[in-house]
Amino acid sequence: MDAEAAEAEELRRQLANAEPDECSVALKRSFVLEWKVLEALISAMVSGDGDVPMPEIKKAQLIMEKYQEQGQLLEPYLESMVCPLMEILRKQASANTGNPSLGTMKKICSVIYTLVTVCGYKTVIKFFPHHVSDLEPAVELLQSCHSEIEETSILREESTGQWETKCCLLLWLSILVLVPFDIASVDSSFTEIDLTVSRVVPPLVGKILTLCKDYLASPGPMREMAGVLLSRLLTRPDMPTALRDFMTWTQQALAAALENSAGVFLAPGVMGAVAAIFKAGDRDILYPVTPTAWEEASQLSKSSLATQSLLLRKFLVKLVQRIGLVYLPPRTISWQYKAADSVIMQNLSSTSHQDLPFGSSSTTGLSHIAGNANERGVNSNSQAVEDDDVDMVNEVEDIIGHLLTSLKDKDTVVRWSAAKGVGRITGRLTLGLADEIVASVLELLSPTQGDGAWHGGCLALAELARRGLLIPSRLAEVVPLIVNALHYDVRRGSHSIGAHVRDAAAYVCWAFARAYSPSIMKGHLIKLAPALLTVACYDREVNCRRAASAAFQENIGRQGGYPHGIDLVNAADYFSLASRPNAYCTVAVYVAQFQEYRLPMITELLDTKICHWERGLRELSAKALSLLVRYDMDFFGSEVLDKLLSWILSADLNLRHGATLASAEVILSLKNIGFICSQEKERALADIVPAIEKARLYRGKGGEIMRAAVSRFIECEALIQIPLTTNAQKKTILDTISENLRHPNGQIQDCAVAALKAFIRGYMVPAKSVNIERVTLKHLQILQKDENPAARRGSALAFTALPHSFLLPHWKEIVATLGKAIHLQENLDERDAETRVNAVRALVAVCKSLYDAGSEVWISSLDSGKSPLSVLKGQVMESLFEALDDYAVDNRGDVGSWVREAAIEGLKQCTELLCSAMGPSKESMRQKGEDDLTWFDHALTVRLVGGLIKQALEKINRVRDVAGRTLQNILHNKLVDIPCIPHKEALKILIPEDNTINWGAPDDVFPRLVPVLQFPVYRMHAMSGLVISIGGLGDSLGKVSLSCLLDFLQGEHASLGLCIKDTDNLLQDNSINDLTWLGKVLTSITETYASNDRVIVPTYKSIDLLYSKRVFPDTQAMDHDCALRILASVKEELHGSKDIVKIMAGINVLSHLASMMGSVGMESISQMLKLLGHRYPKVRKTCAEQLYILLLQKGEEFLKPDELERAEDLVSETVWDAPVDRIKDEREQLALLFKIQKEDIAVRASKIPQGWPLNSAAHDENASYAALLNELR
Amino acid sequence: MGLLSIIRKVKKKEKEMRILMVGLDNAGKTTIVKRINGEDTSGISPTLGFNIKTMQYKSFRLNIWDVGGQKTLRSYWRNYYEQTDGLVWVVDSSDLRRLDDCRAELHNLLKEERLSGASLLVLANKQDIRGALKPAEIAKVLNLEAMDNSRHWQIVGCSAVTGEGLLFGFDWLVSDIASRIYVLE
Repeated sequence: MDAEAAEAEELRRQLANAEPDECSVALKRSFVLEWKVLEALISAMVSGDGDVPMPEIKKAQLIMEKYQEQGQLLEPYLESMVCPLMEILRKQASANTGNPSLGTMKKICSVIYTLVTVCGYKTVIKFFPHHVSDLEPAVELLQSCHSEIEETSILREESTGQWETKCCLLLWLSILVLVPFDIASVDSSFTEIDLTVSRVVPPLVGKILTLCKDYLASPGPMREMAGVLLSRLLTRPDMPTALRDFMTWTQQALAAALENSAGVFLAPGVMGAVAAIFKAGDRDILYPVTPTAWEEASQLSKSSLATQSLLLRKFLVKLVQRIGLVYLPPRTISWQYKAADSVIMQNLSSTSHQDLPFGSSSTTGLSHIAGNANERGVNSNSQAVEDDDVDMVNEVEDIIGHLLTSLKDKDTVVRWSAAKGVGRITGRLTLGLADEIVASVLELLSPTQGDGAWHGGCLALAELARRGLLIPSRLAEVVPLIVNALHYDVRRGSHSIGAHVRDAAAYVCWAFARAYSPSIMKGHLIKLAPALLTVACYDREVNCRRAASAAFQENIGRQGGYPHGIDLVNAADYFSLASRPNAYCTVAVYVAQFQEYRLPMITELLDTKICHWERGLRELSAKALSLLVRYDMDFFGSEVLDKLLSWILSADLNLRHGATLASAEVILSLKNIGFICSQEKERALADIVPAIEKARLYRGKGGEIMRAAVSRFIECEALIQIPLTTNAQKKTILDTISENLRHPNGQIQDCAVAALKAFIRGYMVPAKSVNIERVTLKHLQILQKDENPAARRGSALAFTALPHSFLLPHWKEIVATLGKAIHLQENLDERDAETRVNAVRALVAVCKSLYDAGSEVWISSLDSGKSPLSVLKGQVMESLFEALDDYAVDNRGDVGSWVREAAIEGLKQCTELLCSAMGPSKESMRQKGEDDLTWFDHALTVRLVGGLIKQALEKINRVRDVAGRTLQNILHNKLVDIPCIPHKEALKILIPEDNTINWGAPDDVFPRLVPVLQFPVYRMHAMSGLVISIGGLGDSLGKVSLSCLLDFLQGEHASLGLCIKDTDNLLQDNSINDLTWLGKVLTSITETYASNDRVIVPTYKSIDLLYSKRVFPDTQAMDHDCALRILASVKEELHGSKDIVKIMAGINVLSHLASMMGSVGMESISQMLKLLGHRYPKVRKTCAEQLYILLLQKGEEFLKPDELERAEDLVSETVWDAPVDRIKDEREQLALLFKIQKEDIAVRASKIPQGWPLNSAAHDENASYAALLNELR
Repeated sequence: MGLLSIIRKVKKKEKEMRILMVGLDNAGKTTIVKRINGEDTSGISPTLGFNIKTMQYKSFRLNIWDVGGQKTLRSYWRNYYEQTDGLVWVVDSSDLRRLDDCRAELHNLLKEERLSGASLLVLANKQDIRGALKPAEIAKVLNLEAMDNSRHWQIVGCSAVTGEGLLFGFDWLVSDIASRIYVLE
C-alpha cells in the first residue's frame, strides 16, 4: 500500500509540474454524439417527475442501443443519467407506499434497463442510491409490481415496462440489502419480536426470498436479476439461517423441476442463483452448505435436463468449480511459472539510481529473488512442504472430473467456462496434482477424442499457460500436440470440421508467446513456426489463417531472434491473408523461399490439401504446388512427382483428382524452368491417360471431375511435349479428348478444347491428311449430322482449337457448316442455343486462324475464286448479323441473348480482321486491278453500328453492357481505324471512351444513346431497340427509356447536341423538330416485325404511350399514311390472336387512331365495334370503355347530337361482358349509328382458331373466363 | 461465442492495451521503451525487427509494440486478435532538418482507417539536448491542431535519457485509452 501511495504522490507532483488541466481537458472530449438529446430527456424526466411521452423514451432507448458493442463509451455519462432517475424512483417509493404510480415508474425503469443491457448491470448499479430507509419501500414496491397482473408480451417493442421495472427493482434491492446493519434491526415489522432470537429469518428477508423464488422460475431476465439479489442477500454474515433454508428449498425445487415441464426455466434459474451465491460468498459462509450444493450439482448434471439445456450446463460448470474453490484453500503456489511484467512507475521513479543492474531482472529467465516484484521463474524448492499440507477432500477429485468432462461439452460456452475452472482449480493444487491435471488435459488432444475435446483441451492449455500453471518442462510434450491441433481437420461426410480447433490452437501459440520468456520458448518455436506458417498460408478458413499469422507475429515480437521473422511477419499479415488465392499463390510462395519452411509447406500441400474435400481448394493447391517447383526442382522432379503419380489411380476420388491436376501443373512448371525428365519418367507420364481410361475412372460419381482434370493433364503433357511412343497412346488420348468434347457439361468441354488445342500443336503438326480426317472431318460430320446436341456443341467448339493447317483443306465447308449451325432451326426440338453460341465463337476463331495463315492464303483465291477475306466479308458477317438477331426463347428464358452476346463479340473481332486486312489487301487488289473493291463499306458499318446501338438499347442489362462496351471499342479502336462509320465523330462525343460508364444501368445508358435518333441512318435500329425497353415489362426500365425519348423529342437533346458538328450535313434537311420520321419509323417497325409478338406488343405499347404523352397527334408526327399503315398492322395482328396482352395493346392503339379524322378514324371505329363482339368478355369490356371515352371526347365529330346521346347510352348501359348472343343487338345498333355495314363488324365463326369449342364460347361464360385465365397465365 | 469474442472479453477483463511506438528512425523509440521497462539504455543500435514488451501501469497491462525502422508498418496495425488502441509518435526534437519528413509521415500514418480510433501521444524526445524545439513548437510544425476534432492527442516533451516527461505522457495516454475502453475506477 505504501508503494502505491508513493506512486500516486509522485504522479500528482509530476502532473502539477506539467501544464495544468491539459490532461483533464483532453479527457472531457466525448465519444457520445447524441449526448445533448439524452441530457434533454433526462432533465425532462426529472422536471416532469418521470412523466414524458412514450415516443421520447423509445427514441432515447434507440440512441443508447447504438452503443451496445461499445458500452464503455456511455459509461462516463451513467452517473448523470442513472442518479437523477433513481432519485425520482426513490421519492415515489418512499412517499407513496400504498399506491405508487406504476405508470411513470415503468418509463423510468425502461430507460434504466436499456442502460443495463448496454453497459451491464454491474456498472449501472454502482449509481443506485443505497439508503437504509429505502429498503422497506423498495420491497413494498416490488411486491405491488409483482401482484399486478401480467398482460404484456416479452417483445421489446410491445413492452410496457413491466418486467423492466421488476428487473430494476431487483437490482436496486441487490444494492440495498448490503446495508451494513443487521437486517433485523431495519425491519420495522420485526420490532415486536425478540431481537435476540437471531436464528429467525426477519419477515422482510422472508418477503424478498418469496419474491425471488417466484422469479427463479420465470423465463424472462428477472430470473438472472433475482439470482443476483439472492447472492448478495444470502451471503451476508447475518444470514446463515436464511442461506440454509434457501438451500433446503432449492433441493425441493430441483426435485420438482425434474418432474414437470416448468423445470426448463426453474432448474437453470436455481442453479444460476446458487452459482452466483457461491461466487459472492466467503468460504466460511459457504462451507456449511457446500455438501448440499455439490449433491444437487452432481445429481443435476446426470439428468436429461442438463443434456438439453446449454444454460444449465454452463451454470453447473460454474458452480462446480466454485465448490472446488471452497474445498481448496487459496495458497501461494511456489511452483508457478511467472513471466514478470515490469511496472512503469517503478522503473521511472528509480531514475535517480542509474546504476541499478538492469540486465539482471530482464534477460535471465530464472531467478529467485524473493520479495522482488520482478520475480520470475520456477520455484520448486519448497515442494516437499507443499505436499504435506495437502488437505484433499474426496469431492475435489469428482469436481475436477466434472470440469475435465465439461471441456468436451458440445457447446463452446461450456467448454470455455470449464477451461477457466480448470485454470482456477489447478492454481490451488500442489505441483504433483496440478501435473496430473495437465496430463489429463493433454489426453484430450488424442486422435480418439472428438473435435469438442480438442477445442476444450486447447482452451484449457491456453488458460493454464496464461496463469503460469503449465510449467516449462511440460512444453516439450505439449508442443507436438499443439502442432497436431493446428492441423486438425476431420472429414465428416462431404465436408470436414476442425476450424474451431485450429483457431484455438493458434490461440494457444499466441498465449505461449506472451507467457514464457524467450529462453524457454527458443527450442519450441522451431517446431511451432513452420506449423503456424503453413496454417497461415494454406488454411481453408480466413479466421484460421489470420489467427495463425497473429500468433506468429506475437511470437516473433516477443521471442525474437527467429530466422527471417520480420520479413515473414510483413509478408503474411492480416491483410495479405484475407484472400485465399493470394495466400496460396503469393504469400506462400514468398514464405517457401526460406529453406526452413519449404519442406513443411510442400508436405502440407501434398498430404492434406491436394486431397481436400473442396474441389476449388484442390485446384488452387495444385496451382500453389506448381509455384513452389522453382525452389527445388530436383526434389519435385523425383519424390514429389513420384508420389503424385502413384496417387492418380487412387480409390479416393479427391486424392486422384487432386493428384492428376497437381502432377499436370508440376510437370509444366518443371519444364518451364528447364528440368529434364528421365526417359523412364516420360514413359510413365505418357502412360497416365491410357491408364486412367483403362481404370474406367470417368464413370460413376466423380467421373465428371476426373474428366476436367484429365483434360488439363493432357494439355500440360502436350505443352511440354512428352514423347508419345506409340500410336495407340495418341489414339487413346485423342479419343479421350473427343469423348470429353461430347460431354454435356460445358466446363468439361472447355477443358477438352484447351487440351485439343495443345495436343494438336504438340503432336499433330505438320498436319497429315489422316489426322485432318480424324479431327477436322470428324467434327464437321458431327456438327452436320449428330443428333446429340451436346456432341454438336462440343464439335462446334472444337473448331476454335484448330490451327489453319487443319482448316485450310476444308475451310469453305467449315464456314458453311458453322453458318448453318448459327441459323435458327425451324423445328423447335432441334434448336440448341449453346450450339449456336459455340458456332459463333468457332466461326470467328476460324477466320482468325485463316488470317494467321498469312496474306497469301488470306486474300488469294484458293481453288474456286473466293478468298477467305471475301467470304468473311460476305458469308461470315452475314451469319454474325443473323446471330445478332437471335431472339430464340426456351424454358430457360431468352437463351438467344447468349447468342447475341457472342455475336457482338464476334462482330468486333471480325471487323478488326477486315479492317486490318485492308492494308495488304489493297496493295494486291490494286495489282489485280480491283481497286474499286472496298472491304468495308457504308452498308456494312451501318448494320454493324446500328445493330450494336439496337442491342445497347434493349432490355437485358447484360447484353446492353456487352454491346455498349463493344460500341466504345469500335468507335475508339486503338488497333485499327475503322472507316466508313457515318457520323463517327458525333458518335464519339455521344459515346466517349470512358471506362466508368455502367452500360448495365438504364440511367447511364439511355440518356447517352437516345440522341442517336438524330441521325436518320440509325433511327430504325435505335427505335426498334428502344421500343423493346419502353414497351417491355420492366417498370423502371420503361420509365427511364420513355422519359429519355420524350426529352429528346422535346428538343432538349437537340440543343445539347448542338456542339456536334456534323460533317455529313444530313441533319440540315431533317430538322429535329419535324417529327414525321418518328411515325414512319414506328410504322416500318410494325411492318418489318409483322406477326413477331416479341416486337409488336411493345411497339403497340410504345405507340399508345406516345399518344398519351401527346407526342402524337399534336406534333403531327403521325401522318395519315402512317396511321393507315399502323391500322392495317393492328387489323392483321389482332386477326385471330389469342394473346390477350396483344389484343389489349391493339385496342389502345385503335382508340387513339379512331380519334383521327377521315377514313382512318372510321375504319378504327369499325374495328373497335368488331372487337365489341370478341369472344373474350374482358376484351369486349375494355373495348367498350375505350369507345365510351372516345365518344365523350370526340363524339360530336362523328355523330349528330341525338345519335351521340343514343350511342353513349348504348355503350355505357350494355353489359358487355355478358354472353355474345345477348349483346348482338346492341352492337348492330351501334353499327347503324356509325353507318357501318353489318358485315364489316361480323365476327365470323371461321376466325375462331381450331380446337376452340365453338358452342361453349357462346353458351358458357365461365368456360371463356377459364380460357382467358389460361391465356393470362 | 467464437474464440475472437472470448479473447476480446479476456482483454477487457485483464485491462490490456495495445500501444504502437512509431516515428522516424533515430527518434529514440527503443530507448524510451527500454527506459520505461527499466532496462539498460546505453548502447542501443537501430532496431531491425520489432519488439513487444508487456508492462504494468496502474491497473493496466500495456503491450507496447516497438516497431523499428520498418518501411511497411501495415502488418502491425492490427491482427486477428487485437486492434491498436494507442499510438506513440516519437519525434527527435533536435533534428530540425527532418521535421518536414516527420510531419508528412505522421499524417500519412493517421490517414489509415484502421488507426482512426487510436489515441495519439506525440513525444517530443531529446529535450535534454540543447537547441531542441519545445513541444509547443513541434506541435505547430507537425500541424497537430488540424485534427482537433477527429482524434484525441497530446504532445509532451520528454527525454529518454533522463526519463523526464515520460510518466506524464504515458499517464495521459493510458487514461485516455481507458476512458474509451474501460471504466475509470
